Amino acid sequence: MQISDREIEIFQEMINIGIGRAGATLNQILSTHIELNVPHISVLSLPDYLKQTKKENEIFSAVEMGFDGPFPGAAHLIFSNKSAAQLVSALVGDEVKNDEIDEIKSGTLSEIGNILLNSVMGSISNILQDHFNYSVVEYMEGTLKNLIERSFRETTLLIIAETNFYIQEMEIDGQIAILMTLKSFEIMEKAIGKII
Amino acid sequence: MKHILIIDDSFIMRNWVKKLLNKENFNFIEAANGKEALEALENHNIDLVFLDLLMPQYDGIFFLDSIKNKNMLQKIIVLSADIQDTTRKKILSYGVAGFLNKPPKEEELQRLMNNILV
Repeated sequence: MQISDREIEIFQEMINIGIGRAGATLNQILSTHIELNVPHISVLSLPDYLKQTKKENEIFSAVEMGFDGPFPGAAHLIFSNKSAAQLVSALVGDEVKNDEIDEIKSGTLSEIGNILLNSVMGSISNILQDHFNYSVVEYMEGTLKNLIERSFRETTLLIIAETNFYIQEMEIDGQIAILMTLKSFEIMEKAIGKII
Repeated sequence: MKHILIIDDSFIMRNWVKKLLNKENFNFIEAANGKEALEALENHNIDLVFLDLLMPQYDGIFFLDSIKNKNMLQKIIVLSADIQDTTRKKILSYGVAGFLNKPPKEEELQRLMNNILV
């Protein structure tokens, strides 16, 4: 499937608006200053995405929010396990008791995912002048293939936004992935065509 | 003492709301979903409600639809991460006191609270 530079530019703009809002929101909630940016966006088929990451067996942490409306799909915030641990540690410190680590990690990442994914999907919805219904965010761990298959079985295309978190002079890498079908993508292209 | 019901499945957001209001003398009651919240409404004399929308099992819309005493709607401030214009319009049509995106600005929150807690 051919995706034009113009379309990539529009995705970048929609996602940047959402990320900008999410950054401001997270700064209000968290006691630590956090900056977000999205240096690169790509649209890939599922096999190409899995091939490109070259991390078939690595376990990732992800927050998933399903959506339905003009088209169905799911949005993910994905971190390597190392990045997830760094992010949580930077935000809540090292004072967490051992028996609380899992709950704090999933709770913190879920809330960050909730704000970030709502900001990104909400910006897309507002720009397209449409409405999505969301599912409750869910924290998951697994290989990329497992995470995507568990979340939205019909995934054929992914919009991948590399996302950098800057916290306390640390750079933590993550990804926002919007999972959809080819048909969903075509519906979104048409909706974008109406507003530009 | 005023009784404030905080309905949110995220303990981080419940704690955050409590922290924001800590300087005031409030009694906080917490609920993680709409069903727990309805039970809390029956068991306490609630002065103000902070309501999240997206929660497992029984969500914020379920809670709004289930409220029998319609005067209670005017004591509800919806706090949601959902920034869609369509969601804001739908929620305000219930007649709630306010709809604020998470996290609300302190002055906005204070203004709405002052209107409710007269």
